[in-house]
Amino acid sequence: MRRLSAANCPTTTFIAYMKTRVILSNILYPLCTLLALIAVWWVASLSIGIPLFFPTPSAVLAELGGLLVSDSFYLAIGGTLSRTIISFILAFAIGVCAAALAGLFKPMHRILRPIVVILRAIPTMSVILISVLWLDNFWSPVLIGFLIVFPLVYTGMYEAIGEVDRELIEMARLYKVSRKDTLTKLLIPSVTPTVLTVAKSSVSLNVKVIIAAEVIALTARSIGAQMQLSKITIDIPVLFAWTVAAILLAFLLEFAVSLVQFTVRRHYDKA
Amino acid sequence: MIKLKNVTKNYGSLKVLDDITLELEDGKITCIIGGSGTGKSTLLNVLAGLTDFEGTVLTDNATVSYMFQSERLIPTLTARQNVEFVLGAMSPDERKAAADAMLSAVELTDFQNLYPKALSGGMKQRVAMARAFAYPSDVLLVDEPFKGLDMVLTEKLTKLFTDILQKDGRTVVYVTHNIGEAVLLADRIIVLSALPAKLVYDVNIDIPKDKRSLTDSKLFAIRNEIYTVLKENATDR
Repeated sequence: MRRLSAANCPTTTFIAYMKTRVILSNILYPLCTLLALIAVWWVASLSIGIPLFFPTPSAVLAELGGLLVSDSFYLAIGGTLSRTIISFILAFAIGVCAAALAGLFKPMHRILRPIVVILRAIPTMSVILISVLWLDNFWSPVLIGFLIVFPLVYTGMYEAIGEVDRELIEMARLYKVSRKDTLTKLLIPSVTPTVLTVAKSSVSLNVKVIIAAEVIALTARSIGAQMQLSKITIDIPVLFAWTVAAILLAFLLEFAVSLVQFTVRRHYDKA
Repeated sequence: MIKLKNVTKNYGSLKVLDDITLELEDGKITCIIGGSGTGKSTLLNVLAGLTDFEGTVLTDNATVSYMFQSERLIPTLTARQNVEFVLGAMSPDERKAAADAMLSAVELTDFQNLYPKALSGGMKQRVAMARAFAYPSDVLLVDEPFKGLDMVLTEKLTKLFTDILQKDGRTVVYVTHNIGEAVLLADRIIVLSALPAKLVYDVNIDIPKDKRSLTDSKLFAIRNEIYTVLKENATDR
């Protein structure tokens, strides 16, 4: 069988072929996976046959539709989103700055490394329980999100700094290029792709842990508190609906980071 | 004048430079010749202040530009931006003028907005050349910049380089393997021995450059002498 390649077909045909491949790999395949998961869920739900214990996807969709018309849904989504954004920005800004300082001054890394190792190893639930006792129920999830994302951003950024081409730094030093130009024209462009990859993978994790903390802290106007309420009232279809809403929220945030990543990558692809 | 006094450089237990004492006159082109792995690049790095060493190097605060063996271009900057990257101390107008002049001299004006990924090996070296000449340095260090390029391209770039160099008054230290190129270009030629590197040959060439030819008997004799010294000091490294 003759494979289609740039060499053996007209340009327009090849572009159409590549577009089809991109559509297949980015939209069709994930969609098929999603449909398969929903099908398994549906079959499992029908097999168990107790809709209140294990609702069907359609029942969950109906519950989600009901939530969408209530004010409390938007208050909860807005609350969780604001805490996610606050903790993510704080973790990201402090993680990037700390890693930049650690990259410049090695003793700083020696000081921060044990902290980062501890933060990565510490059980999330114990931190949630402690923070709930120490902080109010708004800031407790923010702290948890920060503590989870900070080590990821710090480690990713520190490693990215370590991978910057030493010969280019040496060249900049030889030509007495200012620190500002070295930072903005050499270091930041070198580390940005890695940092954005870390951001993309950590933003949905942030949503997960913040909701977990909200469940324990019973934070007002939060997805977590709404989930806890559904659990107390044993309203499993609503619990499923909030879960779907949380997944969509994480997906939207990841998509937003992907857009930034795409824009940056397109810029660097020229380079 | 740049003065090196008793310069020694070790990489762990390996002695690379052994007690080098040397004076480099302002505005002169000095070519350094030696076999592979004989510390020529290390000597340039000592002059550039890029490596530690024992001994003394007096430079009178001379500024240095350097054409490295690899181009060392920033991949996220265009050819022009790579040249302008080292000209931050200039005003925007001066920077533009200096970059324009050097990009034109290396015949890259039409390619100035391309990123290094889109440039050929020879074009990248021309950008590095433009950057080194655009930077207002007192000393230019050149480390076999055309190594790895094909013979025709090497000849073309060497000609371009020497043309620019003729109009330029700065002190040049040029590492090369090409004896013919060295005798045509240099005011002085130094040969390094095998490791640990010592100065084993040092000659001044006072024939005006526009009157030099490889068939000239004096230059021919110098070429032969250098070749003999290199053979005597060759190792199988």
